Amino acid sequence: MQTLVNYIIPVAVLIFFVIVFLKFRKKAPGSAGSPYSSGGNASSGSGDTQMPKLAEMMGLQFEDASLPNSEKMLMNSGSRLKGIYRGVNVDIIMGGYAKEAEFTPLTATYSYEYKITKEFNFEVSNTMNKSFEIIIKNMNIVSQPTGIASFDSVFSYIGDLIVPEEYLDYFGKMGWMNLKLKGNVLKFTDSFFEDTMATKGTMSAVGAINPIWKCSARNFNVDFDNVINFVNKLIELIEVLNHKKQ
Amino acid sequence: MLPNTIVERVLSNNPENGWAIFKYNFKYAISRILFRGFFLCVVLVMTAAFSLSALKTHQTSFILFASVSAILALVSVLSIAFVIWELVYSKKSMVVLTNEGIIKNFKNRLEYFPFDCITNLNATNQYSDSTPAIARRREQYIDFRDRRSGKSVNLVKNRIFGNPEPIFNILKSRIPGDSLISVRNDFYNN
Repeated sequence: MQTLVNYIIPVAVLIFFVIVFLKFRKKAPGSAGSPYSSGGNASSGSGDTQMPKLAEMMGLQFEDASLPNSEKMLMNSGSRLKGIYRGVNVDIIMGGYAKEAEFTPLTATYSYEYKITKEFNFEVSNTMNKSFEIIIKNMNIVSQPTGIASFDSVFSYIGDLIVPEEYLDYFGKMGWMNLKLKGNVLKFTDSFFEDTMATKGTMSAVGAINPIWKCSARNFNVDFDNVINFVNKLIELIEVLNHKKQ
Repeated sequence: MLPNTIVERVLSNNPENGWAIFKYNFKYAISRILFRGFFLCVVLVMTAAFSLSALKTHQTSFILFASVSAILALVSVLSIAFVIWELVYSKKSMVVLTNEGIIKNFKNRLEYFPFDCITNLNATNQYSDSTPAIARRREQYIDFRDRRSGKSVNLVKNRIFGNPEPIFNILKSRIPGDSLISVRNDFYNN
């Protein structure tokens, strides 16, 4: 016990210095101390040819929407498709970034921030200012059943605007959707991967086929015709709801 | 609608369509009490065992060790007291995302944040919804900045109102499009 007592204080001091060393040691240039780093200066630009092709097929204008590059940027890509498609103002944004965090908590050795945006925005004329939202069933959300079995088993429906049965059935058969009308914007958010990961786990999400893009994280061959068919369906919905901007 | 009315309507099981309700997580409170109680017991047992053998021969070391143990024990007792304090008001504790804003009622303190006033929304250490509690090793937070006061607000910490991921996912779909949203992940080793 005497030996133990004699060593307690030095050992405690040693542990303290090891913690301080791990926390504040100078990181090697380029590595940024993390296996997740690409060494700074991530390449800017959309980096793929999928979105320009979709823009061309839909007759939209393609823009590189990636953020300005910086030393802390680890990943940076962004595509924006803008223009009028079938008489509706469409704004498609697909992109994301990851960068070293501006602030790392004292207890952590490394932090990074990220944001991913995948959304299709359609400008509408919502004169009655009604709204609706269709999202994957969430037990925390108070929602009203629509009476359509294929839809109610999968989705929560929120809002005061009635969407025709045909479209609810279409979404129900698709098995996943994240669509919202609020103000003068109908927004489709592609949260398929995140929703699948949340409900079925990461491994299932990797192999799951996105019902819009008809591709998965394993196989990234986009079915553009299916994407355009889906956009057409949403524009048809806007027309049926009489929300098309004149 | 007044924040008080919203809380009352949730308590009387009469919520409005579209509200997302996250009630206080009792299981998490109990697990915190048990874990902190266990830590307290370990500290007390170790101190007792050490005292019996070292009190007479190594008084300086004993005083140092006993001081550290006393601080640890005090921190444990206080942290348990804080959880018990939460439990006292737990029936009314909740986070409600209405169609206009957030209601947070926690430890008998009621706060309301309209969605228009929220910016710099940040989730720290997000896990998938399906990640079990035991695998959530890092501290989780959802914070934002209130445009009215400019102050940073912590909405939830860890699983006090259940898993934070659904709260963040619904919140980011309801706040205005110009609000800054990000996720931060922290690592504790190199």
